[in-house]
Amino acid sequence: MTATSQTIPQNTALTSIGKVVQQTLFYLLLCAIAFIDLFPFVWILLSSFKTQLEIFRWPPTFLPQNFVWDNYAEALSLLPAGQQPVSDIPYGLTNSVVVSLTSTLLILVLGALAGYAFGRLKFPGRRALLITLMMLRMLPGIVLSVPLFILATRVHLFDNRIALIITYTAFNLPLAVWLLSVFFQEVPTELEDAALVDGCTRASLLPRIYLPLALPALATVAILSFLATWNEFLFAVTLTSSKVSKTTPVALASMQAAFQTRWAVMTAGAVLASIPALLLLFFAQRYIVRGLTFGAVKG
Amino acid sequence: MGYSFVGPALLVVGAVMIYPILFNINIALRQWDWSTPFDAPKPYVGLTNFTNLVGSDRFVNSLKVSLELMVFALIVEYLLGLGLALLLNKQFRGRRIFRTIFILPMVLAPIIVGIQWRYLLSGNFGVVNYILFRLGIEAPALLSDPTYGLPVLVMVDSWMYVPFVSLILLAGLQQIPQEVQEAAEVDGAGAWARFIHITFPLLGSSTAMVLMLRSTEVFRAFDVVYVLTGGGPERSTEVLGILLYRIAFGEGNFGSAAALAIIISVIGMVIGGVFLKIVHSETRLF
Repeated sequence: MTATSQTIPQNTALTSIGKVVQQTLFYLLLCAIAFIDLFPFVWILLSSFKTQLEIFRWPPTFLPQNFVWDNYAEALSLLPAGQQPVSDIPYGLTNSVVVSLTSTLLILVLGALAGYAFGRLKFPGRRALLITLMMLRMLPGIVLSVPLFILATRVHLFDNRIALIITYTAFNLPLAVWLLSVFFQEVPTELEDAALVDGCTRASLLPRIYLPLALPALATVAILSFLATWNEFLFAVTLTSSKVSKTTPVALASMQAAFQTRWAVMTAGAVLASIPALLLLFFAQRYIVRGLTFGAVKG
Repeated sequence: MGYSFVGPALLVVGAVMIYPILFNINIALRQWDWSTPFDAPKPYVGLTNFTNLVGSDRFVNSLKVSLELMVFALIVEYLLGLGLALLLNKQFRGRRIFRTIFILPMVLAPIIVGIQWRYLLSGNFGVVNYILFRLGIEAPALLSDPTYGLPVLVMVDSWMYVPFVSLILLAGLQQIPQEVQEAAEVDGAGAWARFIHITFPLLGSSTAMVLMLRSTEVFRAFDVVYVLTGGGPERSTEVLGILLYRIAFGEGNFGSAAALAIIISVIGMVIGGVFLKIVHSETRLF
């Protein structure tokens, strides 16, 4: 060991020490950043297993001293008989699942049809329509909150999940159409020609050739749309008023508006509401990254 | 054939986005509030809603808060995002794990991020105060002192979006050909010189793109502010989005809120347009 290190020329040993120091600093820095990104949510997660009393304790405890599931039971209103539920989270979760899945499905179907047409077919006004869609992508939701609230009330869809589903579908379609049209455009024409020669009809080109090819792009659209609709708050809070239609973010926010915030239950609710996003982060990260960087990289 | 494919999508977008834009203009020109019965005709008042709004102190305050939030958040997010992108722009062990952690703030619902920070920054039992206390710093009342309203928003917005900014800039960095860097190194350019003369200029289009995306988004901030501060303390965080929500759904003055919506759109378009022009001059892509 000592013998070999003595044979190494002095300056190589120095640079290798420098490399080690550099590597260590690099990882220390990464860990510090990772800590900042991770700690707030970990703190919420730990708090969700503490009692309300422990949450208000000073100095704060890091790990729960009495590990309890009560907050989750209470958030999900799994209460002993006679106790009033404090949260609308069970309704929120159900509504969120229905609204997000239905909107995502609609976005996929309508987006794929329109994306195919914009990417592969020629028709007058194609460019103008595409540009209009792109401009609508930049439209902030808050700007349309008033007219949409009045219109939803007029057509008796206020506090109805259908209003949310239609709104979410519309607001996510421009990005979906754009992403898919770019994708379809890049499919080589040779594939189409070969399929036609092999006896594929024009009408079955989309389901038999393009859709199977587009699966990764469709997955990206589905995951981005699901996350966007699952996390959406502005329209959820302006277009709903009761547990019939309010989604999880609204259920959570309204718990905070109450006289004294039940932080223990609230943290459990926040964790429950984040589960789908966390699952997608772990199992579909590739698609999330691709979707998020798509616009910026392929401008 | 094309129309039947794009038809359904255009129908939904037309009904939920284009028609409401026009309807919003109509509302903005009328006296339309909760005091007038639902079915009653709403009197046409011209530009009164606009002039009343623009002349009001709280509009000026909100415009200032929104612009300040945008400028400071953009500066902080760009600098930290660029730093992180440069740090991550190489192969290293554990890349995947770190990437997963860095993406976490991006997938969480803004409402949850708001709740989370409200909990962490709480004056009575918040862990941030405790950490500061242990470091020997007397903890300021972060959520109740108006002085800290805007800095807290900038901090939370940065927590959420620095990863996004770095993701976009990293994608830009990876498009810079390695040979250019190597050639400069051979020619004796140091790390700093290479960054200033090669990396940064070649990152121009990514920079402009990310600033454009972020500026329009920060300018319309709503969710996080709604749960974190609700616009307070003392209107120090009452961004335009919160002001619009209050006027419309707190006070029921739809006419005035619709007018504010148009003002927000116009300012947003101007800001987006400026950055778009920069993108154009940087890249000459379109």
